[in-house]
Amino acid sequence: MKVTEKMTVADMLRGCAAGRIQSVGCMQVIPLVSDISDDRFVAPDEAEVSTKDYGTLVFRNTSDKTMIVPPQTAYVVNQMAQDHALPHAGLVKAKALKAYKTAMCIQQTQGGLILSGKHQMVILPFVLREQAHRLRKDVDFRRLWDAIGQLNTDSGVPTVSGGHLDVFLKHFEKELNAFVAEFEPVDRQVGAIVMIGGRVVGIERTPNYAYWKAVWPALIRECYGSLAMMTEKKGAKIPETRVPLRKATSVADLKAALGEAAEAERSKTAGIVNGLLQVSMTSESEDSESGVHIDSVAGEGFVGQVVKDGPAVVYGSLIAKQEKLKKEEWEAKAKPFAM
Amino acid sequence: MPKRTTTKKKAAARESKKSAVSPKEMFALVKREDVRSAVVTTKSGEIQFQSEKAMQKVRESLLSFIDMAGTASGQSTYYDSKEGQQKTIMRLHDSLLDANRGLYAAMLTFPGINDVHKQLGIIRLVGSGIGRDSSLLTEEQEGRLVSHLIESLPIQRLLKLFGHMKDNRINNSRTKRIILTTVLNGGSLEFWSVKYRRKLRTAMVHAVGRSRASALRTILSKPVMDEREQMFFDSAVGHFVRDPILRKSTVLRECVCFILGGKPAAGYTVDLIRRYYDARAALDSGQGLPRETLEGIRSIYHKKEPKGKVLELSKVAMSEGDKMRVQKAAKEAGVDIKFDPSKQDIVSLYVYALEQGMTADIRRAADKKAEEIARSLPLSYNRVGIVLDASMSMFGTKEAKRRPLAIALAMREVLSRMARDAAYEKVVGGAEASGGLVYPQGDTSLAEAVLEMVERQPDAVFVITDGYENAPAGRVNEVAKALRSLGILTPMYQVTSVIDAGAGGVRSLSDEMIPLPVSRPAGIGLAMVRAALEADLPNGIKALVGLAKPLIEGKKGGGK
Repeated sequence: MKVTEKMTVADMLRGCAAGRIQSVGCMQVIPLVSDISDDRFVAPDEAEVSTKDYGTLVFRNTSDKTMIVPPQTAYVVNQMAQDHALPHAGLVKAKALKAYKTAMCIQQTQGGLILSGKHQMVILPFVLREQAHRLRKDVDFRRLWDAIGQLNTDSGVPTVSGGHLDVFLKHFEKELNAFVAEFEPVDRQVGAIVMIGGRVVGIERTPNYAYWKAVWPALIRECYGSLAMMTEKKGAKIPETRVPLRKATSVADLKAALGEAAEAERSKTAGIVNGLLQVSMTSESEDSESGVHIDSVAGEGFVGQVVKDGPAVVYGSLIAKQEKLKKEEWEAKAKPFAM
Repeated sequence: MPKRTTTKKKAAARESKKSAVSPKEMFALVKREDVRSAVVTTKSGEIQFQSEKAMQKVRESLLSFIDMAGTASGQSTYYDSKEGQQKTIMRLHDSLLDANRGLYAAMLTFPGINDVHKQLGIIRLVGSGIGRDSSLLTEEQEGRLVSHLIESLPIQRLLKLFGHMKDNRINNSRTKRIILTTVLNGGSLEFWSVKYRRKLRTAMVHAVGRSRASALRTILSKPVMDEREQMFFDSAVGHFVRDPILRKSTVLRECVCFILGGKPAAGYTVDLIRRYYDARAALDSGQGLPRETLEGIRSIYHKKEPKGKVLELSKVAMSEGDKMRVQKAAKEAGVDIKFDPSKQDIVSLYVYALEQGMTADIRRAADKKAEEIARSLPLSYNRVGIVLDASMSMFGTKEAKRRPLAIALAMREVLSRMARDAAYEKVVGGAEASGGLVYPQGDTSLAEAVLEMVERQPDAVFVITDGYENAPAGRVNEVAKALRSLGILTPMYQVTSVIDAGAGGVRSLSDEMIPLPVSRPAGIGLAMVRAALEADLPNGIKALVGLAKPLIEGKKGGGK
């Protein structure tokens, strides 16, 4: 039986506090730190992953804890095999094997199956995630090819070869790798609020510190890094949520100016984030395993999935809808009419 | 099923799966027949340039080369791919070689240049003729620098280099002489033969030629050589051996026979080679063989024997560096292998301590090394301020775990010893542990730390970092500019142990900071040469070539 409930962003972030903001270029990351580290769960970085046939992704959880697979996790492998992605979150029991027939091919013209092994995980580029989420229940391995092809065209990847995500990742490898060094995990971190151009584009929360460290490179490089890179290519400037240093009259005054700028940035950013906390979302149960269940959530401007243990959100991944981002972009450009 | 793949698309897909430039490509020679040196000398010995544009190009090439040659090793960094690094490295080598091969050769002999750059340099110098190029050095002078470069490389790197020479089909008489004199006069022919047999065979066959190598193998397998055969052996091999006793010895004949894959009719009498064969029957007989060799034998002939036994049997043959490297495995296997920390370089000591924990012995040895390096540097201060970035990105990669941080910690020790009166320090990010260790952790907020150091009014501020700042990015630059506008002119240096290959140099925090790229503390001298070149290019080049003068003139100890 499907259960539909209401929840807010604040519910998803309960138990977390905001760390010091990290800002590079048009991107800002607010680390979410917590004293709660729920070590019952592991990330799929240690899983043995393979494809059984086109559209079936298989996870072997070798650990003695339940594995949560983040939504839109993908595997771009160094084998002559078709790369695959999972459009929704997954749960794999401890020491168990689970096959998802809802997986998608992300390398259109490459044949071959992925041999079982530990492969580096990626999270799909931001612009593909909403579509993947929307199509998560379908069973058709070809369903993301057009969107990937569009991404390649929009980002100016030469010799576009349709739905080949590997071509995009290879082409921008250097730019995307830089994001990993630019945005670093901090002590006690379990999540992050990601802003690009002064707007919240994603909210991520994981169960524990080790989990966060395992998934962060994939989130910051392929998912949010790709969006920041494309936004900067369009000419995005330093966002208004960044505050430059004021002119100082002495070293002591310069020190004070540093503190003021940091405080002003935090205050501006907090204003935006706090405005989102009470956004109401519907939460609909879709899968369960080992006493926890996956819910799909949707609210004004955001979609995503959470993993709940009763009332507690142990994992959550929300992304801003393209529609919301376009609206905000327009509103930033076109000021309200007044006489 | 997915659509049928066309051949072209298949090729493109295959191409996209390639991860890095192959070693063969990395060490490939570029044809440079029509290159005209941008740098020339006048009759009075002054440095001149072909044009103003050429001067700008040389400046760019030299500075980028220094930024790279002291740091980049062609491996991936925390944020850059192996391929990106390697392409940049090749481009910068070719660019400086084109500027002037004599200048290029002199540059390579400078302390602080990584071994991989020496290898690339030797390949380029040996593999390309001087031709119409007006080098700052004569062929003979260049030859002396090349010999020095070769002598400064460890055997495993030399053997790799010889392999690259073979790949590039560099087989002139100079190459033959270099290979044979290096292999036969290293003082460890017996040990090298069993440790590097295959690589030695490749090098030797390349040097003497296939047919002569085959003939040598045949005659060395005979019970006795006749006079003609002896003469052939002497001209092909013995001629290159400096030690007259070794030249006439059984050790030389049996080692060459073993390397070339022969088998003497009466069997081997040289101790290590005999053990090599005996160990196949009984692993214990292999005591004293190199660890890698013995492990190879164990994995084929004695699969049931534990790996720890190899450590026990080979520990007498281990170098000090090897002894330190195997500590973790030895502990796990319950084998006691002692090593002497004083025989290690300071960065290796920190890599070890970050992995295994700091001990009093390591601390003492690291302190002593830091003192020695600080004393050898050409400058000192009354007071210095040091900011150490220990954020997460300083961790390194799978290929070079903990290395950027180990270099940073070593640099901190050296820099603090360059101060006569006081050294102020501030660690940003990281988790401090006992024994002066810091483990990478957290974000990078350097601006406040820089300001704190400046407030203490030191003679110079050194910021040891990878150049990635995020809380927020650009803040250090804002602070540095604000300090200058307040009239505070304290010199600020950015000491960086990793390279951004894409930018062709160090990822700079601020224009107000002088970049000092280093891969080991001794290399900071190289970074200081960079500053001299930036200030006055013609005289900087003259000084640089001057520093290599003792080597150019055939005396040892140049480039210091």
